[in-house]
Amino acid sequence: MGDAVDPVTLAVMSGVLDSSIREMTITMRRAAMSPVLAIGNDFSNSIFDGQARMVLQGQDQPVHLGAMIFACKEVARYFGSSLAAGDVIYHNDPRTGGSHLQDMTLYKPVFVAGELAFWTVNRSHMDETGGPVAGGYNPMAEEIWAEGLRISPVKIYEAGRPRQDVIDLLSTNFRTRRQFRGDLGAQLAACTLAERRLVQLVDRYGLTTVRSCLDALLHRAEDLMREEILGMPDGSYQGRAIVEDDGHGSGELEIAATVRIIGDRMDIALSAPPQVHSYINSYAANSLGAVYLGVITYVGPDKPHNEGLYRPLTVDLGPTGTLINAREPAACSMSTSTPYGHVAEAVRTALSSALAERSGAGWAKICIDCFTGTDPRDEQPYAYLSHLTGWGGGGAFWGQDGEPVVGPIEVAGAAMTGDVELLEYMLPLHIHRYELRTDSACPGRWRGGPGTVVEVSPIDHETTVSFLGDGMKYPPPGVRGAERRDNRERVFRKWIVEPDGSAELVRLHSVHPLGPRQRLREFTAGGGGAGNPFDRPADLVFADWCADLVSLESCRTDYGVVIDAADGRVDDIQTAAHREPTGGTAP
Amino acid sequence: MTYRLGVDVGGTFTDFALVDDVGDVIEAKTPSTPDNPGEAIERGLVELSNRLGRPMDSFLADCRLLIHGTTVALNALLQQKGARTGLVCTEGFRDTLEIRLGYRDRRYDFRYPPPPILVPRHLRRSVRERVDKLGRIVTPLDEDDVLRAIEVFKREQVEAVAVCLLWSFYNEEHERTIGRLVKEAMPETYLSLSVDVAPQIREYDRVSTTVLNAYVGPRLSGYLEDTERFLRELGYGGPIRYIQSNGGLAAGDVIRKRAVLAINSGPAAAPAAGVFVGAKLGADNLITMDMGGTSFDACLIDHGRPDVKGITDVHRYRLAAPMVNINTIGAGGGSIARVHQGILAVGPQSAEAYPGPACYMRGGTQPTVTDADVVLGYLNPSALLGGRFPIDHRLAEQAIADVVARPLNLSVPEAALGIFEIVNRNMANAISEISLERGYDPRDFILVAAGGQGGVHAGELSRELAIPRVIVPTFASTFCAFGALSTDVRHDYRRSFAYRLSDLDLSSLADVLRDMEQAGYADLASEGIEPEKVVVLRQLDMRYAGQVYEVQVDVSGVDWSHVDKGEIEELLHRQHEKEYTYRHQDGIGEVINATVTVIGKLPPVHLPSIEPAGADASHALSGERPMLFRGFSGYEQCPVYAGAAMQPGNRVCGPAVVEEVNTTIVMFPDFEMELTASGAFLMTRVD
Repeated sequence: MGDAVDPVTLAVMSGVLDSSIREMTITMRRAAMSPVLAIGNDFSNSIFDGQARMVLQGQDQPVHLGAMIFACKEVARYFGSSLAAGDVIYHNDPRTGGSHLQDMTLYKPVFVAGELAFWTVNRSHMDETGGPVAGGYNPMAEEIWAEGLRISPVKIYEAGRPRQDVIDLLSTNFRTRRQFRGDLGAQLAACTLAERRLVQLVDRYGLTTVRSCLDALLHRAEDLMREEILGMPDGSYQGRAIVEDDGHGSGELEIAATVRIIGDRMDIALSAPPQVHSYINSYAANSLGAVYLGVITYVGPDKPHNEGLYRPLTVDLGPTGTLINAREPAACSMSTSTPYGHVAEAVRTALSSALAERSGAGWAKICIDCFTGTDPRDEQPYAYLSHLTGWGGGGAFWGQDGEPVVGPIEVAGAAMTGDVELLEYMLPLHIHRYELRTDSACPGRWRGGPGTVVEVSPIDHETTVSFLGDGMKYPPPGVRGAERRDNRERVFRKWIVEPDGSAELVRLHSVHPLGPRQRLREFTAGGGGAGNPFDRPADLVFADWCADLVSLESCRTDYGVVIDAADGRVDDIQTAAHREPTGGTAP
Repeated sequence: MTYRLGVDVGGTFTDFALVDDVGDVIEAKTPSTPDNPGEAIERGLVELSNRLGRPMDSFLADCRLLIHGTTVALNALLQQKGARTGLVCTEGFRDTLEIRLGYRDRRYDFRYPPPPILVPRHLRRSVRERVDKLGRIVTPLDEDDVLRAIEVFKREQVEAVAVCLLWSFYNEEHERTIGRLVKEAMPETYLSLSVDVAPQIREYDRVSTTVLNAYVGPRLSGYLEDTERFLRELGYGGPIRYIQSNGGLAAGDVIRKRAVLAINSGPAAAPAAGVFVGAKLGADNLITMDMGGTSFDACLIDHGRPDVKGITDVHRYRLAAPMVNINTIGAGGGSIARVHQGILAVGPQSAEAYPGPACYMRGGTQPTVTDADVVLGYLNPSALLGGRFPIDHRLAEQAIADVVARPLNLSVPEAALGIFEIVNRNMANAISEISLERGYDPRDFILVAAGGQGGVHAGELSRELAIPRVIVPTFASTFCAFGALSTDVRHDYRRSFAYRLSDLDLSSLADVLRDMEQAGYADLASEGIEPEKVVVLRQLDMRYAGQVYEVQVDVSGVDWSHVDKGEIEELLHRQHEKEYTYRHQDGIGEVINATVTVIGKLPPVHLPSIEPAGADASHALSGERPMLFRGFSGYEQCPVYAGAAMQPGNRVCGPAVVEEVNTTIVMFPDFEMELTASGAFLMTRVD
């Protein structure tokens, strides 16, 4: 147990792990090349010990939370004793712990004096997978082979020397191969810089001390999690979430979660319909990550993020062959948002009913576009997964409003939308509009974070836009009195607007050409609310009205606050009368 | 006799350094008076005039230059007491400031709220206009929209107006027109245009910087007026220059218009002090550390040049203006130690000046770094500040026993060592961030330790970072005030000039650089600096196409009449490899911004050299006390030296302590130290 470890050495070591992983993050942000990494920060870093146990996950993408735990173990098992110092491994296959093919993971085993001491690992969302659709999101895919190149664990460096043949095999498969080589360089740099720090650490303290400290850190995380669960009321709680469409006529698909809290442990059982012939299936590692994220949103924030945190959880994903526990040949390119966000939401809904005072509303889902085409400026292909048009508002918590435009909970403000000027500079696109949208946030005593309105046109060429994700039908769920509101309009909506102003509504999972004289207009959803909106203090409603975040009409009907627009003040008498008949309860 | 005076108004203390023609320096230190900073300034001036034995007005009349560092702008931001600010933005882009690129600062703390938005949405007004990415006006400015915005600002009694439009740095016309209309309608209002404050690509950086400038501008301007009037009344008639965040000086008129340049005004003088001390010992690769009561500042100086960053987050607010890269963390003598979830942690919470460390006898019960230093015997157990400030070491022991030792099942000395080592680790991390993580090897540097507690911790920090030598200047406790005296005038100019190398016209780039250079010479001339005193630095912000962040490529040495693109590309490769371990040989190089820095050299400060005496320091021995070092089996009696009695050339071997009035230097058993002819202590580890 950790008690044998000197607490000062332990604190120092924990500090070295933190600074090593922070250095990985900074390196990725600064050196990566494709927009999804460089602007979107869609990557994660982890450090594993010699037994492939995750001893720290960086402050990166929540969507990768825990997912590498399984992948690194698979990779370690695959190579076994054939690993050597200077090896570097590359991998993306969901069957062995990958999430979707875009997420390509680089592993660097760290040897000190011939002993495997650590692994430094980076998982990055690459903008290309070499499938039939640039960018890797293929709504038409019925099998994983229609989504791009599957990479089973392969050495790209052996004993410190690049295997150029393998690297070329990979890059040959990708349309944007120059970016790929740049991004790969950034991944390798991140893992190498952290490796240097960890080698220094072992040199200084010796491997035995380092190992007992890592054990202690894992135990500590487990103890803290058990303590946290012990503080939750025992019982069995249900939650669910609905995937509205798979684009192939399967209709609505429900994911259900049952969370049992028993003393200091938590048993989570999920159920889902059979896997579908579409790109929204999730393999086990990805679904487990979603469960972990759902739980983490309900525990205190200052935990060491290592795999010890998850030891008190037992997760049952049910039989294989389902939407959330897929098996070959299931397609899965959308799985990191649909059904990832739904699994997390089902778990969160269950926990919300267990923990009323900590409950949190739903966040806007991912409803995103992928722009692909050839840049007329240099005739080079580009692929842009547009966070700008995909991010809606954050959900409210009991006690605080949601945040604007922080994206879905699996992203939670980690992946930036980017500067408009930078996007326009890098891509052949013109952005006409990007700002918060009136009445987009779901009402509540604490309201959701607003979503946006965005308008985009291609410049001097025709681009192809794939419309991906979920969230056009159901708004993010509210909690504790906010769930009954009629929020049907507080969803994602997308139109292709012609030069004459006529607009055609776009369906989910469709692909459309977009010409330079057309414009794409998008409404992104706001977050869900918490608590009865009729309980929201009138001055806050009034402030939202002054800020054009809530319309006069919504003030009255959703919040029961009557505003005298001419005088610019709340009409207290009318408001009281309006709120009174329902006894302060929204109709 | 004439003088130069440096005044650094900090949060806790106001420091003064006065140097005369001969090079004699007088220091003074008074507690700051945040509500009325002039009070502390006056008290310090009185002290200086007493020490000189001259009436204040006569000694001020002989002052030729007064250099001032102030935290007024930073405090306005920290306390959210800036001006009521309005913002004019491009229609369709009203919320850049609030969306913050969709970023949240903490990953797994889903309830961590964003910082308050400095301009509420109803004061962010859109106007119809649009410039495209090539600088072409695609929608002309609707002046009626501007007038409507002005009506709102007047009604809402806005004190400052910021203007930031998309792509304005490629076409300033619309921002200038709006500026003119605002000025006409609201002549008293502080005006901040993005084309003046931060003419560079990335609208979030630009709007945040322009708004920050507007937000702190009126407060800082008011302070400058008050202070200048007040100094004139006391009898000072010479020029007043201010420390900017870029580490250089500027006149009040410059700072008034671009207040945001003074946001880190005080601490930015530290590198100048470091360079000064280093130069005396022939060293120009330095890391300065300043450890005070609540915070720790670290700065890297590469070949005599402090690291200056173009974009920084100041307390979660984005600032795109050159700032000396000073890494500040919450680690100081007052940092509180506690056991958090079974792990010992130190800081960033501080016991502040009140109640202060437990040993201060002001009722504090939380153990601090100072308490640990006292328990270990590093600090004098009965009084600090040369005996003027009595303390009680038993209270230090008690606090450490209660809060740290018992919960962790350690002895009190073990717990104190733990606190000492954890705070060192935190400070070492802060230094790593500006050195290792930026591609510098700390072993190539000398650590310059300043601040009241710098000398206590510097030895161990140097060991942690494998830095071979440490300098502790005798003016360690008024480091920034002294630094102010050795600071030069500095202005930075930046223009976005975004082209891939293949499309780049080298002669246009040379023109852009030359234009900025000429502007620099003109600005310096207006401040009375002759051309032969000017040093020019040129930099390009470059990256590989696709990257979002640039590396700063120094092109000062490039001969623009003979340069080819291959040479520029090679400079990019080299810089990238230095920072990120690799060069992207088939990457497409691109330039984003061109930067020119002009430095106007002021006459240097000359400290007199003293004839060295012998190595023997026994005459300075003032006693001994028990101390504990890691690796000792227990406390051992170690010698204590009086720094004031030491003479240049004297050497001391560890384990030992040297006590100066305002600072203490702790020497571990494997260190030795010499007082150099320039009056600084040079500490070396003996392997």
